[in-house]
Amino acid sequence: MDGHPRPDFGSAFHRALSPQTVLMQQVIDLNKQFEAATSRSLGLNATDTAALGEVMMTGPQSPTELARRLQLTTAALTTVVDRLEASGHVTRQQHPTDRRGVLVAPTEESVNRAMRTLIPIAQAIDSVVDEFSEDERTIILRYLQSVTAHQQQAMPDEAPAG
Amino acid sequence: MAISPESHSPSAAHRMGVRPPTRLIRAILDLSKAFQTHVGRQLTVNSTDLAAMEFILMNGAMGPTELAKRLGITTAAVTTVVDRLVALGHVIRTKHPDDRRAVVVEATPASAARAMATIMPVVRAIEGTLDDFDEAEQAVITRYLERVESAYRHELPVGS
Repeated sequence: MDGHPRPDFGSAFHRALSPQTVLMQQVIDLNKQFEAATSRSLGLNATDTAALGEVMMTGPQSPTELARRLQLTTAALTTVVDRLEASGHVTRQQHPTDRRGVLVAPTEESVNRAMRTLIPIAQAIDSVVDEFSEDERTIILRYLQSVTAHQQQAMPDEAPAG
Repeated sequence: MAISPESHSPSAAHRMGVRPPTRLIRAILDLSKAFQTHVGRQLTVNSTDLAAMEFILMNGAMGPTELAKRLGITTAAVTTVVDRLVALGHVIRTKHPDDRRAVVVEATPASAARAMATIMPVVRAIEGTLDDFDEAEQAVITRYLERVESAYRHELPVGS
């Protein structure tokens, strides 16, 4: 980060916050880097990854819905889905109730591969818990619950369409 | 996007058999991703564009080559991304202050302010949760987060 011509928000941001919040932010950033590295190894760009993540997390959905969520035109989304389909990450399925409709769904293989990537890191993080006493775990849990609750409150309450 | 940590990707965390703190860390990461998509929507940009914006906002102005490297895309592709962000008024191309032949991409003040206005309330809310803990408790939280952070760093592929 040296040699950047302008002051950045990153350092201003970090100066104003307590170490815990900065650490939490660093964990979030590391997770992003981890996912970016995983995507690169699969040959996917950020938009492809976002699309794949969306159908994995939210479930099979129509191209129109997916385009809306990802801020893409339906034409741009078609290219993304074509690419993901060609590389075996998603399939286009017939909509169960609307026979003219199509749903984009992740392939079983792609879900399994995502799991295999996530398991080692999940286990590494989980083993950290062993280093703390029961009482300390209660404190940690209370903190993390509070963080998720605040994150949820901050999220605009858009009903997940579907 | 209303997502509860319980209903959100429960299968993954449960299948892995991890404990509640780890499940909550996962929920926090998923929620921040959902929030990021929301920020992207606010700025009407797609994921690649948003990732570019984020790098520039957090690290300051940078050259297109460095930006391409960070995003894992070609320099040709990064040109398209920057063109789109310029057209939307999110970034500008300026001369590098020390190297007049080089160009850097910089966030516009209006766009930076807009992104910060969306992001800061969440960060402040997270910061505010610490008020409920005394100093000894805060030390436990710090120790836990430091260990989680180093576990992450350890798992990160080299060179990313």
